[in-house]
Amino acid sequence: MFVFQFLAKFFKILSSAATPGQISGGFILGMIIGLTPFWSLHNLIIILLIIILNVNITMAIFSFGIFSLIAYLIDPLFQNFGYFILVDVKMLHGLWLTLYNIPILALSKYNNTVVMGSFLTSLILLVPFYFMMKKTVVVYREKLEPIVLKWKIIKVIKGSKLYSVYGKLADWRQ
Amino acid sequence: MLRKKGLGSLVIIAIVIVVLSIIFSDLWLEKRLEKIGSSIVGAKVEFDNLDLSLIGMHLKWKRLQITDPNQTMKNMIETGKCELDLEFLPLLSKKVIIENIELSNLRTGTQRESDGYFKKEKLLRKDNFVSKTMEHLENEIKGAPAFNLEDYSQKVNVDSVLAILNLQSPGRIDSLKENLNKKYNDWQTRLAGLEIEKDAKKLEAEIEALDVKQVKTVESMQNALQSLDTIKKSVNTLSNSVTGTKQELTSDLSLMKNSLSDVDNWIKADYTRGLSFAKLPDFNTQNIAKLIFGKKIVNQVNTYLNYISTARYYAGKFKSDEPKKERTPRLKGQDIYFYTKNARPDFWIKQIKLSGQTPDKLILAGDIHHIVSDQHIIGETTDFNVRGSTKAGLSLSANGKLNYLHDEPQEIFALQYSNFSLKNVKLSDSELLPHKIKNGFGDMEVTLNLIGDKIAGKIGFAGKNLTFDLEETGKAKTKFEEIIQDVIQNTNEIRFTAEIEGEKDNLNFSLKSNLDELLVKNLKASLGKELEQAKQRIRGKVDEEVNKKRSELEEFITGKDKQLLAEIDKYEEILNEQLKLVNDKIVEINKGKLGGGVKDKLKGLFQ
Repeated sequence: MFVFQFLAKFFKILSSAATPGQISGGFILGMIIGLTPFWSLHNLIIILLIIILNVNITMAIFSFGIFSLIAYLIDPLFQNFGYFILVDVKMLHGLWLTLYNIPILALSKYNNTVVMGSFLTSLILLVPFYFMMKKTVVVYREKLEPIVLKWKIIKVIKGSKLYSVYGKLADWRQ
Repeated sequence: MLRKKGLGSLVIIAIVIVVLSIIFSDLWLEKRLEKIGSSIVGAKVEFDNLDLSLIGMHLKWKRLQITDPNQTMKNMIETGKCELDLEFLPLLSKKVIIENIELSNLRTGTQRESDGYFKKEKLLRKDNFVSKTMEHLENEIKGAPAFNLEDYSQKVNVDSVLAILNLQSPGRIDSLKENLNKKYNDWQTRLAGLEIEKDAKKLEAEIEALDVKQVKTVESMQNALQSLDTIKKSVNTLSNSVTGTKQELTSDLSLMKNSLSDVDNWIKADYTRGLSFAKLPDFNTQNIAKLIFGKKIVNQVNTYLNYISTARYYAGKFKSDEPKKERTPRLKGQDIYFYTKNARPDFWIKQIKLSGQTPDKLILAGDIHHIVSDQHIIGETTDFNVRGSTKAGLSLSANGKLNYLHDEPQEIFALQYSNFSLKNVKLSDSELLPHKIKNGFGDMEVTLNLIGDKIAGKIGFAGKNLTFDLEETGKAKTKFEEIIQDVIQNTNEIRFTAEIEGEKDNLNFSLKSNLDELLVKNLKASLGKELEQAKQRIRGKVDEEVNKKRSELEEFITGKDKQLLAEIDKYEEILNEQLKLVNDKIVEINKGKLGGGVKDKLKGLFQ
């Protein structure tokens, strides 16, 4: 049931009034928070950006949930990538040393292998995922939405009480 | 592009965060410091009324309690009010720098209102030398021979032991006898199969068939001698065969005779089993000092070694330019530290001034210098020094140095505590010495030096003018308790010396005490006679049941031995007789029992 609700929620966001740019923006910002350890200084900035910028918050939350799960699964890769960047790449040592002694920046936990690995990964994925998501929204709205809406399961979920409560809540938030 | 509502929300969130942090920062910091402290000490560390002023970066608390990890209902250290200033700018770089802390009204060994137990998370640093030393010490105590009180406290019940003692030797002897009998029968069959008598008779008939009177011609003489030669060869062949068989038989009989020594071993095993059923102890193998004081000493030493292990772990962690990859919990990651020569360390308490008193009212004063995350940055070692004395002779001096400036970490500690009161102190956690001391004084001297993977430590203790509180433990219920009470009543001094020395896998731990000798002497004197009687009875029972069987077996072996050897000797005798007969016949023929005609002919032949 959870999977169906999850898919329904996803389709609901895709077909919402938000523009593809807003949805993609929410998606990539949520992705950064999801992939990197939550209690990090940069995530405070990302949360501020989500609040200030006109991106889709629901998509940001959705994306955060998905990427948190992915981050948990591929944590050893982040750890290795971060260790490689911080320790093995000797030419960057000077940069890390300078950053380490700059007030505030030291609080960003950049010297943690998982923070560094996951943050750099999310930066690398930022642009391609933004455009990929934007394209997905456009294609979905043009071609797939009419088909998906005919699925029985979507009708069942749309008819449920939970869904109507969720819909009202979403409307109120916008 | 910007969300107007969002800006408003942001302002509200910011206000909420500021308000919450003002209200909860003290609580949050208190919990955080308590958690860090507890995980280092291994028991609860608690602050009372911790207050952080964000404006002046001023920190204060009303009371700090550090639980003794070995007695969690007592505090190792308790302090009174304390105030300190944190440097603000380094905090922005995640660095905590404290110039000076004054810890007044410091007390040791105070009672706690609640249990200070803390479940410590194990750090992944098992392979280092200090951890291995701790493990070694624990194994030393675990490996000490068990000293079961019941062995001493119950009267030895030999009757019940004898009732359940199912002797193994008689059955084994019977089985051995059966096997030997089979072997003897095989030999009998084999000897009978030799048919020496039959062959001898045949040869004898052949010899007798040679009639000397009939040897009249040279040809007949030659024929007779040839026949006798053939017979002689046959006798010799038979004789060789009998000699070989005899050798084989003798060696086999000797092996079978040796099985009697197996029987002796079985009897011995039965006797030993009887002793173990009776749980009769051997006084000589016990190291009573290890059993009585070992656990307490090892716990104490390991507590301090654990602090050293933690200090070394962090010293290594902050020092390394190329840190080793660590296995960390998911989403936690590993922190990599970057330092320049002139940077400030992440954590540095420059000086702590201590003042307080021990439970026996000894006024203490001291200081700790440079508790720092990386000694290399400041070029200083961590030192501490606490001292105090009274006119009555009570004195304490403790000092130490943690030196992580060089490749090999080095820790040095020394403690001298003289003339301290032992009133209400229990010297041991062991059941062997459960009594509290009513009156008495103690002297203690501890030294512990660690350099890299080498350790040398000594703990010396001497309790003087001791009287024990025997009323609390009550009248002795068992013989053993009686002996213990007797020992401690008749001695007013208890001494022990524990030493640990060595490096890496070659560590030696020894613990000696005057109680060793005293207890063994008393135990032997009191229980020795009874134990000897019990041993005799068990020996008697084993002998009674087994000795008859053993004698029967010995007789059986000797009898069969004689019988088989007699048989083969008989064959040898027969063959010797045959040989004699042949030789006689040859002599007879050669000595001229031949007719005159033949002689003349022979003479003519050789002229």
